[in-house]
Parts: sequence; structure tokens; C-alpha cells
Amino acid sequence: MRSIPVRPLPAVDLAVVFLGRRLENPFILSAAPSTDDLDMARAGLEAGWAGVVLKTTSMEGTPVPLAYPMMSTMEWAGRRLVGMGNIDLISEHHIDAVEERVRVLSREFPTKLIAASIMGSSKEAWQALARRLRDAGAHLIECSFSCPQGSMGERPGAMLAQSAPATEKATGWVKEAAGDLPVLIKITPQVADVAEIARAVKNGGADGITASNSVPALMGVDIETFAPIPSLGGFGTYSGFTGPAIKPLTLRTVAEIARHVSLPISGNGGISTWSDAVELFAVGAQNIQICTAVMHHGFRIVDDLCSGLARYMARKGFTKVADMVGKALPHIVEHDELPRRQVRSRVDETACLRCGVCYVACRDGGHRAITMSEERLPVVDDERCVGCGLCPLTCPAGCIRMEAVA
Amino acid sequence: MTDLLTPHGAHREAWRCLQCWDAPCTAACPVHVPIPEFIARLRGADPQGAEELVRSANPLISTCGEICPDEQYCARACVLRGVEGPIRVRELHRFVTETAHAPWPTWTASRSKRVAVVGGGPAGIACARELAALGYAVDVYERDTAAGGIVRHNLAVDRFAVDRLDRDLSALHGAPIAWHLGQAAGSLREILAAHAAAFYAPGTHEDILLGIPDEEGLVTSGMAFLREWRDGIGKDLTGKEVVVIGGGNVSLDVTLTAVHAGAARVVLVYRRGPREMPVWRRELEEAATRGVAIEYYARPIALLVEAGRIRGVQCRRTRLVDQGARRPVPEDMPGFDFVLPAEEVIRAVGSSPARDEDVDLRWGSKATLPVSERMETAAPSLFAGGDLVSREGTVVAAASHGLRAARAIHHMLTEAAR
Ligand SMILES: Cc1cc2nc3c(=O)[nH]c(=O)nc-3n(C[C@H](O)[C@H](O)[C@H](O)COP(=O)(O)OP(=O)(O)OC[C@H]3O[C@@H](n4cnc5c(N)ncnc54)[C@H](O)[C@@H]3O)c2cc1C
Ligand SMILES: Cc1cc2nc3c(=O)[nH]c(=O)nc-3n(C[C@H](O)[C@H](O)[C@H](O)COP(=O)(O)O)c2cc1C
Ligand code: SF4
Repeated sequence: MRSIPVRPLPAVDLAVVFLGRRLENPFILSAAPSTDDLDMARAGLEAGWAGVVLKTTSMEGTPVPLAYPMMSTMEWAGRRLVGMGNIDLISEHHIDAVEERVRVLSREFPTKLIAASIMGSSKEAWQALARRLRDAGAHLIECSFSCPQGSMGERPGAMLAQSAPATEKATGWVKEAAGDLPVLIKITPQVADVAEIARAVKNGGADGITASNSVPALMGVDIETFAPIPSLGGFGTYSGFTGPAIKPLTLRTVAEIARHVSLPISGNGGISTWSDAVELFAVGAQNIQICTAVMHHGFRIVDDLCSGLARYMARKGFTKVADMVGKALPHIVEHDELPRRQVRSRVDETACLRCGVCYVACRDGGHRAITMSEERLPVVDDERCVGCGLCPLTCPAGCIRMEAVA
Repeated sequence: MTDLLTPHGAHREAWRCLQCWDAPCTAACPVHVPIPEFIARLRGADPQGAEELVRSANPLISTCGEICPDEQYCARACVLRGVEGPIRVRELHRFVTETAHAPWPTWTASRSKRVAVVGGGPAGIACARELAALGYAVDVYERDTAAGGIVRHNLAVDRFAVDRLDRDLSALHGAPIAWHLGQAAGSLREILAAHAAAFYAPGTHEDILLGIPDEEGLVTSGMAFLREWRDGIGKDLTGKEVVVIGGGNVSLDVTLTAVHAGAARVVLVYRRGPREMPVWRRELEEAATRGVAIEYYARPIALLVEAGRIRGVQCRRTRLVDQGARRPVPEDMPGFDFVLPAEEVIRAVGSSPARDEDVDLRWGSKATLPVSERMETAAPSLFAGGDLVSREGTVVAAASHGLRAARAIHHMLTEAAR
């Protein structure tokens, strides 16, 4: 039950149609701890998420050898979770349990998207998983070709989605078994050419692509003991890096796919707010999967996502989410195609705090174009300013902008 | 009094600092604590490095972390004041000195000259530290049995824990400083004869009287009252009606201590209005939350005494007239007298220096001893500082005088050697 009385949102339709299925809004819980328990998945759907991707399961009867602690953080500027690391593996739960969850949830939430995520180690495993989930009533199957800890690629330690041929082949197996059921392939951003991988996904026959999973990273080193972070008795390994810090990587990954391959995209990685989501729509995502922001602040953030998105769409006159999809793509060009203009830094003195931070930045990292007046106001020398755009980034008052000059 | 910063809170606060160029906070601090620099070290998880910076600038930094009226110094100059609130610099001091406390690394009395310091209050402590750091052997003369001056003896017990001061003093372990405690300094003339130079910082410890009949014997001295509470022999005021005469920070400390002593009602009588009150907002708020009432625009003119005991204070209304002076002047309004019931009347209208020096300091008519920019007095080789020379009345101001004098003494002695 909501305890806060909520004024009705602007009459904007947040619904999206993804791979033939209508979602009440574009926000989906991605495969993660939040979706690895029936009650939690239920709570998420009740809170207003349009769908869930249940945490990845596999065929093997052998237990999943989890190692704890598995979580770590990238802390910066006094913020605890600028980015998050995990050395989690796939679900500990057997396909039997996941099957049961799919059955229950699709019965209880007939209008929501109930998706399951799978990871196999052989053609037989991939196909058996796909068939069983299809028969259990899943609306969609997502294939994790990108778990940083699972080494199911062609080379030991490599992910499936780091090889285009392997991706195409395995996609074909799953699609063959899934039949009409839509299949999404979840890829890693850590490849030399993401468009090539997306093409392999398409050629393999998948219905869409999830871009993208966590980014392989080393979260830190304990400088007292030299153990990697997280340290498990002095030993550590690489983590999957997620959360706000990876949003720029996701934006590029999704844009690259959208610009080069025609394939429906489920956007994922680093989205925390409605405006992050709009950015990801703008580079081609049709819906949004979220994990870290939910692990940090709970299922209820979906209210804020919908609220902000609805108001934004009303203000901009968008009648459906699809109107925003790809809006930024025509504006993304290669560097040599960029317009060459003269811009100069302009300071709004009335809002200036007189801190001089811009002065220091330009002095030691720009072009020594700013001097400080007697009154501690920054003065830009247009002759020296090249228009690099460093100073506005550093201004705590946001009172510097770059202006085109003749 | 205020919420302590947690380690994460301190970290967050440190990150709020904009790291201004030519930081106005540093300029506004009397000892010029390098504020953005120490905060940067705190951000970078180097509390020892941060402590080194703040303690180099201010030998009383643990004390100041607790009671420095930053609202008139660094916080007032912070560019975020009026935007989102100034950086809580003082509390970051406290965090730094509590997280990382190290004795001054090395001390060597590398110079043959001895310098004397008269008075072991904040001014004297700061001067001794700096002289010792410059390599001089220092003799500190302090008539009390422990150093610290007002900070040790007279602050409201609820407001300041003396272990902060002890922490500052412990940073001086091993310094070439001889502490001559429990002995009033002898003649300045003799001290100067035995030392290359001297710094004179005895503070101001003569009570200014109210000038009303029967005052002596009946009205309690605020400074003595505070000191007794510090010394653990404070006067119990349980259930009593207490009137405090004053208006400055000292009188607020007296009211707080009266509340602490159990008083049923505490009224502060001040002859000007709220806008003129020369107090720190933090203290004023504290007094208000403890239920202290303030009677503005009034001054005492007589005590009501029955059987040798105070029953009340007769007060006269005042009004302010602008006579072109710095502050408007209170003027009596006869015919508007009123009586405040009181069983205890405490005076806290200020103190003045003892002028029993045997060298000519050219006091003139001033209430504070005139000194030069470099803290020189009229007498050769004699420097002075602290409350004796200024009405600023803060620990950090006194410390700044001590530091400035030490550097001036060093300059004088090294110049003289050439
Ligand atoms: C009640 C009260 C509250 C205050 N609150 C604050 C506050 O919150 N924050 C703040 O910054 N400031 C505060 N102050 C002001 C601050 O305490 C003083 O400005 C500071 O202590 C002055 O230092 P000083 O060294 O000049 O003098 P003092 O602290 O007075 O020290 C002088 C020392 O000299 C000694 N002495 C005197 N004569 C002789 C002699 N002949 N021989 C040997 N020794 C001698 C004295 O015993 C004393 O120890 C407060 C003051 C009072 C009274
Ligand atoms: C602890 C944890 C476990 C995860 N487990 C899985 C998983 O089993 N399968 C999968 O496809 N993705 C898994 N992910 C990745 C998330 O689904 C998501 O792709 C990633 O966190 C990026 O999105 P975000 O920035 O919104 O968190 C996991 C992420 C975390 C933090
Ligand atoms: S000593 Fe006082 S004025 Fe100076 S920086 Fe610290 S709190 Fe601010």
C-alpha cells in the first residue's frame, strides 16, 4: 500500500510494446538478487515494475560455488555507491525452482512481463533450459552471454559474447528450441566492436539484445595488505562493475548497436533516474532494465522513474515512449564530421560564488585564459580562451557557459 | 553541543568544500589555518597530514575545534555561506585532531638564547610553541598550577571539556620549554635582564565592578563563579533566582553555569538591545534553549537587601541614543525602574588588566595595552599579546598574537646577530 497520497500523473501513456508484448511502463527489473526470490520478485511487480527478468539459472545440478563477501563499491567524493562491484555468479536455484517461479508469477501477474534468464554450457543445456522455461509459461527468455564470472566463451575465461562466431552459434541453438518465444541475448560492453557482436546476435536469429551487462573491473586494492577488493581471506578476483559510474559506457554501447544493426534493444547498465532512462531511449533502447539502483534504494524507485518520465513527456509533447527512441542518433557523428565553430567561456557574474575554482582549472589544465579580478570574479581573455569547455564543468554554481562567437 | 561529525559525515563535509583559490576562509582565520589544504588531505584519507597542517598553524587547534567562534572568522568568509551554508571547518578541526594526534615530531633547542613568556594562557602557549619550534629555550611563568589560562579555568563546564586543552599541551611534550608553574612571574625588569626577549600575556583578570552600593561582599564575581565550578567547588544554586549582569559571551557562560548549578530562574540583564549584543550566536542559542531569559535595555542601580541577604535588584530602563560612536549609547530613563527578584546576583561586565609592571609600557588611557603590528611594546625586547592587548577575546586571536610575537622575536634576535 502506498502511504503517500499521490496526485495523478499527467495523462501520458507510459506503456511500451516490446517484442509484441505490452508493458505498462518501460521499467523492468534486471536479472539480479532482487529477482532471485519469489517474494522479492512479487514485491517488485507489486511496487509497479512492468516486468522482471528472473536471475539467471542453468541446467547443472551441481551447486553454484558462490564466494562471500561478493559486493564492493566505488566510493568517490563522499558518495558511497558511485559504482558497485559484484563477484556474484548465477542463481543458486535450480531450474526446477525457477520454473515454478515463472509459473506462479505469470499466473499472478498476467499483464506483466515475466522473463527468465538462462546460461548453459552446451547446446543441450541451452536448449533444454529454453524449452523448460517456454513450457512453464515465460514470456521471454534472456540469455546471459556475458556473466563476467562465468567462463563459457571459446577461450577459458572469456565470455560467450566476446566472440562473434560463438555468439551466433549459441543464439541459434536457443532460438531453435524457443520457437516463437522471444529471445534476448544479453551482451557484455567489453568487446572491441560491439556492432559486430550485435550482428552475430541478429544473424543467430535472436529477437533482441540486452545491452549491456556489468563491466569487468578490479574494484580496488587494499593498500595495507595488497589484497584485491573484495578480499576473501586475502584473495580476490575481478568484479562486474555496475551502477551510475557505467552509464556513459552503456550509452555508447547502445548507440553503437542502434547505429549499425537493426535489432530491438533492452537498455541496461547504470540507469538510476528517469532522465538517465530518457538518455538511453534517445540512443535507441526501447525499454530499461535496472539492477543497482534497486539494490541501493529499493523497489519503490519505480514511482520516481514513472513520475519524472510522465512529466517530462507531457512537457515535451511526447505521447508515447517510442517517440523518444533513437532521438539522439541522428546527432551522433564521427569526429571529422563535427561542425567547427568558435566558442568562448562566459561567466554570469551575478551567480558567481567567487571561489576561483575555474581559474585554477584553466590555469593548470586549460589555456591560462582566466584571471581573477580584485573582486574575486573570473575574467576570461577571449584571445587566450580556445573554448575547450573545462571551466563550466568545474563551476560549483553552474554560472559559466560556452557561447558561440562570430 | 552540536552534532559530532561521524567519519563518513566528515568525509562528506570535506567533499563539500569547493577548494577555493586564495581561500577567503584562510584569510579570515587569525592564524591563517590552511583550510582548503587540510580539507584536501582529509579527503585523501590522510588525517595525519591534515593534523600537521592545522597544528602548525594553530597550537591550540584541539581547543579551537571545540570553541572557536568560527561564525566570526572562517565560516563567515566561506563562499558557501548564504548559498548552502558554510563548510563546518571548526568541526572538521575536531575530527582531524581526534582522528590523528601526534606529538610535534622533533624538538631541538638549537639556539643558545632563552626567551621568557609571562602567562601560560592561549597567547603564552602559542608563543612558547613557536619559539621552541624556532629552536629557542623557553621559560614560561604561570602563576596557576597548570597552563591554559581562561580556557582551563573559566569556560562554562557544560561547554568545554578540558581534555581538548590537554591534548594541545601534550603536543608540546619534549619541547625545550621550561614550565614554571604555580609561581607568579617576578619583575618584568628582572625577567628581561635574564632573557634575550620576553612575551607578556597575563590576560585581564581584574573584575570590572558594577558600581552600585553594597556590591562588594554581596555580588558574586562571574569569573570566580565559573572558576569554582571548574575546580569542582562550584556554588550550589538549587532553586535560586539568579540575576546575571552583563551582555557578552562571558555573561552567557555564567548563565549556562548558573543553570548547571541548579538555579530555578536565570535572568540576564543587558543595557543595550539584542542587535548590539556582542555574543556568538551559538552561545546565545544555547542559553535560550536552557531557558535563560534576557532583560534588554536595563541596568542595575541598587540591591534590595534584607537581613544581609539579597532579595532583588532594582533596575533602570535604558534607551539607546546615537552619539555618532561605534555603537549607540545606552541612556537612563528615570521613572521606569523595576525590581527583579533575586537571591544571587552575578556580575560579568568585563575585566581589566593589572597594571603593576615595573617597566614603562606607556599604557596611556587605553583599556588595552598598545602594541605594534609585530606585538612590540614600548619597552625594548618586550612583546605582548592576548586579551591584554585586544578586545577580540578569542583563543585563536590570542594564539595569533603569540605566533606573531615569536616570529618577531626571532626576527629581532637574528637581525641583531648580524
Ligand atoms: C567565560 C569565558 C568564555 C570564553 N569563551 C570563549 C570561546 O568560546 N571561544 C574563544 O575563542 N574564546 C573564548 N573566551 C576568550 C578566551 O578565553 C580568551 O580570549 C583567551 O583565553 C585569552 O588568552 P590570554 O592568553 O590572553 O589570557 P588568559 O587566558 O587570561 O591567560 C593568561 C594567563 O596568565 C596568567 N598570569 C597572569 N598574570 C600572571 C603573572 N603575573 N605571572 C604568571 N602568570 C600570570 C594567568 O594565570 C593565566 O593563566 C572566553 C573567555 C571567557 C572569560
Ligand atoms: C549482485 C549482482 C548479481 C547479478 N546477477 C546477474 C545474473 O545472474 N544474470 C545476469 O544476466 N545479470 C546479473 N547481474 C547484472 C544485472 O542484471 C545488470 O545487468 C547490471 O547490474 C547492470 O545494470 P545496473 O547498472 O542497473 O545495475 C547481476 C548484477 C549484480 C549487481
Ligand atoms: S581556528 Fe577558528 S577561525 Fe581558524 S579555521 Fe579554525 S575554526 Fe576557523
